[in-house]
Amino acid sequence: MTPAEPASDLQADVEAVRRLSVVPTILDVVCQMTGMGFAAVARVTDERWIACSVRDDISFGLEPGMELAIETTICNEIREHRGPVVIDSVADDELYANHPTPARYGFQSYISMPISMPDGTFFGTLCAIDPKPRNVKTPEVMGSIKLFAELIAFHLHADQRLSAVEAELTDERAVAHLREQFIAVLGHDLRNPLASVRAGVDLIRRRPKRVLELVEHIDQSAARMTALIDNILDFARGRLGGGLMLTINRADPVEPMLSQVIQELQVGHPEREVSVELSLSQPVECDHVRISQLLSNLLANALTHGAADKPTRVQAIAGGGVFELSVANAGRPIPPEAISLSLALFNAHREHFVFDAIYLPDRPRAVTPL
Amino acid sequence: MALGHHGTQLLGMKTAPKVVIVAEDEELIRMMAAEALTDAGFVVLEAEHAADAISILEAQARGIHILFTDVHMPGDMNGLQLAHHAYGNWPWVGLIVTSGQAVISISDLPNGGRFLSKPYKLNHLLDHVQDMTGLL
Repeated sequence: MTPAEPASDLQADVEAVRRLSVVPTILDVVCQMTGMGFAAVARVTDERWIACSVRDDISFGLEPGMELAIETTICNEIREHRGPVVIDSVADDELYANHPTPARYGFQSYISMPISMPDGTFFGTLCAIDPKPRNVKTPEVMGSIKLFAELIAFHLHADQRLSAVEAELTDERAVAHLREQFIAVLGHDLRNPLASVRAGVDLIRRRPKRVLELVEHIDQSAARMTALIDNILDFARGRLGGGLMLTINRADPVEPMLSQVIQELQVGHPEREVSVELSLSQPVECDHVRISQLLSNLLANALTHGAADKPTRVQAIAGGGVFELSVANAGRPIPPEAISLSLALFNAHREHFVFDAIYLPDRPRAVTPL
Repeated sequence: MALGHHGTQLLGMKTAPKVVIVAEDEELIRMMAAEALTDAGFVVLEAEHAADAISILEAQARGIHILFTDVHMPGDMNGLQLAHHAYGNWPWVGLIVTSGQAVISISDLPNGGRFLSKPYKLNHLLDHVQDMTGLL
């Protein structure tokens, strides 16, 4: 037995069939050709039988999306033996005269043809029933139904490939866009501290006596460039490369680490009020360096871009299996059109840009499972 | 050097030195510009961001001749908005806007405003400031 497929995948399969405009036509032709009153395409797994597309002239009462109990269907048997089942007249059929399914659903004639994908996987069936006996066990009818089943499989396969290619293209575009933005920001954000360093050097030339004071400033600019480059590399690894390596610390509490980050930033912005609420009733296992980086960037951003006269709030709560870290500040909201892109952790709006988190006026937050 | 200042003295008009606000969040760049302008005989008031510059203007706009501002600065108002705000309230203040990122055309600036692309040469800054204070 294969493991049950997730319901969402099945739902996607049902929708894929409904997208195929050829299917209703096929069902019409099946009914006309056989004289049968009900025809359907069903998605069949080892656990479920779901109608994807239906033509119902006999008020059988089954609509797309509805299910039959799998064990009551003959399609379940087809899934196993992969061959068609065709019955002209149940009453006269040796094999099915006493089968519970015809009795249950009240049909005399029956067709079910497997729909197999090009890679050999079983998708479901093209089936038809009628309360009266019909002459369907003929090479013409069976050949046509088989052809229709293959046609449906072919269209489904094409649809899947198209969706895959579209998704790939969207991904490619997003990455290309990100890369462009990335390079733009690289140029912009590094230019400021670099210009500072050069200005500092010029100042030393003019005022050699002020060298000690100026060197301090130059050092700070260099540190900013280092931090920027570290962030850029993380970003490149996380977004454009294979992902970030995490070093999970299970031994040390997070509180001192969080407090230290807040303290360091508070020193740089003595005039700003930072209110801190740490409620860590449960130990948090996380990568301390990454989490401190995250908090540092969120808080630095909140202090830089948030309203200066309002307090910035840092909240860290661990409990119920979740660690929630949030930084909130007052300030002008980011326009909604800018947020949509920034949810990809990137934002073209220079003023609001940060590398691993977005600046939102209310509650930028990082939630990680413990 | 200091043509504007000394120039007026040569004419025998003992005028007070011209006052320039330098609005720039990068401390060293601001210091550098301030140093160069001070050396050239101007009085420089430094602002870290737009709000700073506005407080200075609100307190003593009558004595300010030039506002030299960067575009990208922290806070709710950028340098271009600051320039327009200054033009609307204190139209006598000469405006020079600088940016390393935004390409700003003259039509984006208030009437008479000038744009200096970053990184700028200090003598270009001085040329502009001296030219504009000479016009005042």
